[in-house]
Amino acid sequence: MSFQEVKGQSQVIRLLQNGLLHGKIAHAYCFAGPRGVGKQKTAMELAKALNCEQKGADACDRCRSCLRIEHGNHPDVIRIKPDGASIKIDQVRQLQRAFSFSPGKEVVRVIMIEQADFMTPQAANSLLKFLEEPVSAMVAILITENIHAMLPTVLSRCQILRFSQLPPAILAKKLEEQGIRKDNARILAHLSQGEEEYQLLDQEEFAQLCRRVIEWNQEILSGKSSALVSIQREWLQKQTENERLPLVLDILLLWLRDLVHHHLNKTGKLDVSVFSEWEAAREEQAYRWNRSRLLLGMEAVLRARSQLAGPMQPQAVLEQMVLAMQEGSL
Amino acid sequence: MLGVSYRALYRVWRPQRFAELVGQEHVTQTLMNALREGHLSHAYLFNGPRGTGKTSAAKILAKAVNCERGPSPEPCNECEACRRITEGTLMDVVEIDAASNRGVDEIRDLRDKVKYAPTEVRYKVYIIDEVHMLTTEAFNALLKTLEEPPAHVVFILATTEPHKLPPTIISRCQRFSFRRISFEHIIGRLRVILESGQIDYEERALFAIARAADGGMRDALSLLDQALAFGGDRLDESVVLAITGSASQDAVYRILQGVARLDAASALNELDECVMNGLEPEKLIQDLTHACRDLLLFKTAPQLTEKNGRWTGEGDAVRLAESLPVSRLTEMLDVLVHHQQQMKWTPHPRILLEMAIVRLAHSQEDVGGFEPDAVRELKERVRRLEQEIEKLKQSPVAVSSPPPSAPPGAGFSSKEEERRPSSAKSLAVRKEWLGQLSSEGLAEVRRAWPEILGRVKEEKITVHAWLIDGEPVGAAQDKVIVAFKSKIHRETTEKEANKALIQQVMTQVLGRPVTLHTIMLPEWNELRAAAPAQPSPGETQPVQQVREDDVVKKAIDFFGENLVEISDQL
Repeated sequence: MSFQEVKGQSQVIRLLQNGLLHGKIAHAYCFAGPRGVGKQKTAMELAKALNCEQKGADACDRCRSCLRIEHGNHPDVIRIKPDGASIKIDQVRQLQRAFSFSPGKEVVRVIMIEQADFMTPQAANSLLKFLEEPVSAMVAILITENIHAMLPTVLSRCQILRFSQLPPAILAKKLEEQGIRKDNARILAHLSQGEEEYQLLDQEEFAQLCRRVIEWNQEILSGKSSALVSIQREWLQKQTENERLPLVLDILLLWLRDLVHHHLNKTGKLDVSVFSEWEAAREEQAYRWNRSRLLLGMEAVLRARSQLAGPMQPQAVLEQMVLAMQEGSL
Repeated sequence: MLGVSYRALYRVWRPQRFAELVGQEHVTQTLMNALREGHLSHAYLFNGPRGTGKTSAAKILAKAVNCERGPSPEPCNECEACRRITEGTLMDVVEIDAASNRGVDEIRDLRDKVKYAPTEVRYKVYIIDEVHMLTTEAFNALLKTLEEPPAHVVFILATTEPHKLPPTIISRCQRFSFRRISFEHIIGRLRVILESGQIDYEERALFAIARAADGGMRDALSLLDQALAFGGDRLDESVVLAITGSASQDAVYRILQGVARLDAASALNELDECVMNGLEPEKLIQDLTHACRDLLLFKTAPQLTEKNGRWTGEGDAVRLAESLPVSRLTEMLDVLVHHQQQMKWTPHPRILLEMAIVRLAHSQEDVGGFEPDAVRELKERVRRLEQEIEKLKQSPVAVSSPPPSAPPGAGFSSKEEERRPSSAKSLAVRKEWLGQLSSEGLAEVRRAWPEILGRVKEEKITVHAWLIDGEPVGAAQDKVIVAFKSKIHRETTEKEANKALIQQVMTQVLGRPVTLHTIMLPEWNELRAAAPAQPSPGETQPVQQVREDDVVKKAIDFFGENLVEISDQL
């Protein structure tokens, strides 16, 4: 295990290793980026490299310190996770109390705050002074998927390292290597879910899901009220389906995007069609609506997608979405 | 151990004198004058955005009042007191993190200790940082002490969010508002730091840092730190862009050029490339917004752009600025800002950005391009209306007379002629058309049909309701044939006003003058099969008219003229 194991983030790794080599590791970092791109792992590797007995730009993975950190037993490498729904001020206070004692010799204390955007405002504010002028050698690593939800005053005290999402083309290739069918891989690579979730789906089932979404969209585009009935019949019948609704909406969004691209692709310049197998259906559906209506439709889907995460009933959300799409308004 | 001795640039370069506190002259000047005159207040409130020097100013003030060679406008930074305050080891200068110690108990504790005289220096200075996080009780416990502290105490409250303080606190303090640090000041400071470290740098890299720092000096120094850690002993623009995740100006302008040409496809291609290079959509939309703003600024107030240094105007940018009118730029900014806000909460930032680009490249098609035509047409209509009003004024009786013929050149006279022929004649004409019809033309019209329907709906929703029954079945260079399934829909569509509206919309959408011709679907099928012409359903039109009139008449008989309103709407 070493920095080399973190895939596709060469820039971040280079920055950290340069810092390690030149002794320019900042005392506070914010690792920001989507899920499943290696933020936690990088943080862990940084903690190991900082405390490794073989000083260098990477962890040796053999010394006592590396092993202890790897197993989560190191007393000076602290991980903070949301306690319940948020990270509370008491957790931060506890941390500060621990830091009022001096650390062992030659130890750089590392704090990893996971899902740092879940800090309560009180907790985040109480970190401010602590982050700005640490009392002893330490490195704080704030890990977040949603950098916008962080306090600007906290961010301004950190070096922000952005972990980028792998571009779809590369991701698709990676998925194919894992034995996923080509057409499915292309679609999956464009969805926003973390990679782990891809494996959960059966290949055939996924293709089936796409077909059903496209047929549903056909109903929506034609303005039939049967599209509303489909919500009940198709998507809310089984519990398993229920959990899959965000995925369904993502597919629908991607399909609408394909339709818009089809409109634009008069000159053939654009590399379009995520759904490569559905040429005929795209041809048929694309011109039912004009471009601005398709865009409004996409907006409706996006809104429904974010509402699904809230406390609303999925059926109501979906029905509202279909009606909004058919009305052509928001 | 590695990294232990390293201190972030913003800590190393924390200002130690008022003179070093750049960009806040309105604050430092006042404070220095007060020190010189000995008009020291007992409570100060420093507020302003992050990284503008609030805490630094508080510490400098603490040193200035306690300096062994003072009190003087500037601390000497050499005497025992100054040094120990910088190190944070002087007992009488207390820096309190109000965000961590926010309860009433901590404030009570403070209040109890305030009354003891300072042990080593002249003044006890309490710096209460992040003061907005105190609880209500704590604030209230502080009030009395803040109003009338012992003579040897100075309170300095610092916060980024003054609106969270109770007004009773604010009114007891001298308040100083720190401003965001200007572009030139940040660049100047960066230069000083780089030169003192003897580091080579690119001028453009400094601009990029200052842009990303957005008025916060600490942000700027953090970025500089990061860039130096990444690039070693040289500061390049590319490194800064990589760290901030910003797109290069060239890439941004290429996207905007696509938008300016209304070529959504090529703009999306550029976008794709940027994303492939690992740029985040959120950053990209921010860069696009900034670029639009710069272009707008360049167009409306060129002298300003040069001053604040944002504008790195080269050939491309100037050409782009020339090709986009101000109205268009503001419209683009609206769209971008709207999507930027949404992007914070969506799981699909990339798709949202693509939507924004498509909108940008599309919005123009609605108005632009055809705008001069539309305006000309409207002017023409206004002129005709005015003429008619004139005539009506002159002869009020003339209402029943046939409408005055349209002035020549308006393009309406021909339409009117074509509207009249109903059955037999129009059919005869249609047969000839069959030769002119082209399948490409039809495909084009079909593609544009949803657009046409949409526009008609915007113009007049009732017309849309009639037209929706129809389906374009044939098209030639200057005509579109629409087949209807139901008679009444066809007839209403044929009404003069409705038809004119539809023709106008079609002309706009297709980009060439087009006339509308309607036909019943079965009839069309027969025509297509080259069968001899049938009596047209158009003949029923007069019958229908009569019937309608009958109904109206009856209604008037029943209810009286005043109560009956004749409307075409169903």
